[in-house]
Amino acid sequence: MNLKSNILIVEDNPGDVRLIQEILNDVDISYNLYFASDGDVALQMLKREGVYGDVPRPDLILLDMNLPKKDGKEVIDDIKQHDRLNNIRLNDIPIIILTNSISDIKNDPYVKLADAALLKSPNLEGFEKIANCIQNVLSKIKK
Amino acid sequence: MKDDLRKTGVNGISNVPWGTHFCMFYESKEDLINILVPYFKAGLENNEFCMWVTSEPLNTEEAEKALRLTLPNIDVYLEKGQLEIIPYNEWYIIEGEFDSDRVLNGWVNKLNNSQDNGFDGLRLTGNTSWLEKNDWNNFVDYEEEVDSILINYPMIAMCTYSIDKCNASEIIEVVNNHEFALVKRQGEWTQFESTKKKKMKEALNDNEQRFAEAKRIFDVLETLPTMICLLTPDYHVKFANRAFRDKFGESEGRHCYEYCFGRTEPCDFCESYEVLETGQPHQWEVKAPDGSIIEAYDFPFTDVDGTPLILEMDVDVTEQRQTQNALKKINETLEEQVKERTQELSKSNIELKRSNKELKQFAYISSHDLQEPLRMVTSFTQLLERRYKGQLDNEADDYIEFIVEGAHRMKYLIDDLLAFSRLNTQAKELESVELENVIDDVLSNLSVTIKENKACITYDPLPTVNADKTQMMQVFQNLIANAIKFQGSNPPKIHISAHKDEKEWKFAVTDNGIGIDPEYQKQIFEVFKRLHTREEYPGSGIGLSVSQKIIRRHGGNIWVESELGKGSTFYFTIPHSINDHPNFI
Repeated sequence: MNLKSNILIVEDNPGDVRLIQEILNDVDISYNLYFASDGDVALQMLKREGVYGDVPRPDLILLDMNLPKKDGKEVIDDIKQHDRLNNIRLNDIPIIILTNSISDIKNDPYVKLADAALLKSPNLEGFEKIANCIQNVLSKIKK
Repeated sequence: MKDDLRKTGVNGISNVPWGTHFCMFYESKEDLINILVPYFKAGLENNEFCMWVTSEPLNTEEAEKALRLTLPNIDVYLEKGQLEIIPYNEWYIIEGEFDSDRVLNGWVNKLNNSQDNGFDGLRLTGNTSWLEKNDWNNFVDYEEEVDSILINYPMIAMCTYSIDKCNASEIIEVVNNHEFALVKRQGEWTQFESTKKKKMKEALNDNEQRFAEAKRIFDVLETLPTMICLLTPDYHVKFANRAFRDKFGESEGRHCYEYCFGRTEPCDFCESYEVLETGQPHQWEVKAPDGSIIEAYDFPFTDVDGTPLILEMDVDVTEQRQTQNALKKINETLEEQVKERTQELSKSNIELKRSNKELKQFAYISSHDLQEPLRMVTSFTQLLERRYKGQLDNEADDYIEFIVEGAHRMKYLIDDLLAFSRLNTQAKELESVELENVIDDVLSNLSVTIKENKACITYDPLPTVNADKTQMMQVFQNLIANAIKFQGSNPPKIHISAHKDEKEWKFAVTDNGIGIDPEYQKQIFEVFKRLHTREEYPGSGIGLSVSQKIIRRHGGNIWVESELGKGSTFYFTIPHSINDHPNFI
């Protein structure tokens, strides 16, 4: 039985959310999608707090750095610090950062904590790149 | 009176000026003739009215005859009235009396008549043999008077005396009353002056000279526009020149404090008299009763009799002071204005800086924040295109194409705007940049398009310059990319050259492309200015304006020389040193 991968999408722009969904269509893996539109909700989900008690541990986090309330950096900070919380290991969940412009994240130390940083490209080639990256990361986990 | 000299006609006697009164001592009638005939000949021939008063031993007929011998045309003169020969008893002695006033007036009348008739003056002679002993003193007085008067008139007089008739003292008296005497000595006529006469003449000359000098100096003082006066220890004004008198009037013997300042006792502010105590020059300033400001200079002065006086020079500096004050006021006003202006400018500057900053931020933020919505449009349009291509009718396909194209152009525009706005915010300090490395990087960046267009790019040895490396890359990349883009019918051939001038480097990027009409050669550097449609040549039209901004920032200039159909050369300059970067920000 092939378990579906759980993917947490942390993104406030509904357009970008939809785009990610389109990109995931090209990825040859079955998955469940969970959505958080800001950093606060993302952490609550990760820590299974409150209404989010039933959210499973994601296999991959797709993280936009520019979020309202807690932004991407704070999320990463939090994740990496909480080794074991509520019996959930968070710090080794792979994170793929999606950004509007390279210059925004250039020389950003948080980028080093993530597994990949990709440009939100408007082109089909860009979509392909993101799809390939997600595929690679998820394949590694399955192994 | 004319300064010219008249001919005496006598050998051995120099020419003499008008007003010469001399005498001659004769022994015989021949002596008279020998001297007087040439004397009158000279006078007649020189337009002088001539009058010959005769007496024993020569009478009028003999005189005329003698004259006729040397002057054949004597009748002409006689008819003209230029010559009169009369006996003594029609001139000197009338009705048995010698009246010196009558004779003197007679001479003057004759002179006036002669001048009215157009003659230059009067030449005369009078023989004195008729003089009786009792008339002698009278005559001598007359001669003395003649001597003093004659000098003022255009007259020449020769008085003839019989040497036998005069004793020694009489001879001396005669000689003393004439300028010189003609005497025959050892058969030769000689001229001599009495020493008394000589001394008198010299003394007179001396006095005249001294007087002339004194007058000159006086005139100088009077003419000076500076006020000059001499003050006595007892407050009188011994001398005041015209300038002083013009200002203060005549002293009329008043004390200086009354005369100049209308006071009844010495002025308490006066500093002139300090000079008498200190013996040193002194300068001070005083306000005259009429309100003018006087700069006074006082000097110790010794009068001709030894009295210590004060020599004072006063200069009216009222206008000067006024001008000085006015200038001072103007200066102060100007300084105030400058201060105000500077403050205004300062404020202006601050506001401008703020405005600039805001504009830059605005440009940056707009272009940055515009990217996200643009990305939405582009992404979903492409997805649309991908998913529904061929499934919609042709119109829909066209619509999609227009949207995608538009979105692409918008993206390029925003990218360019962003780059343009970043020109100053991301500008780095100048450093030494090896341009050959820059070109290598640029050619590498453009390698695909160079290969696709079969472009051939060459360059001269390029120097190291003081510049921002990234921006130099932007410029060269822009120019080379343009050269390739706007190619002619032949594959692009591009050459880069460098020329060192005294103050700057001059670079040239030459191509064999389509060229640029001279009419537009300035325009193309303007932001978003394009010369072609997008179908002909793509591009936002911002590249050259970015290049221009960069070059100007380095203190240089950029321009193009081109002819339609014959390619273009883009020139730009980079100054050598930071001091030649006037515009460097």
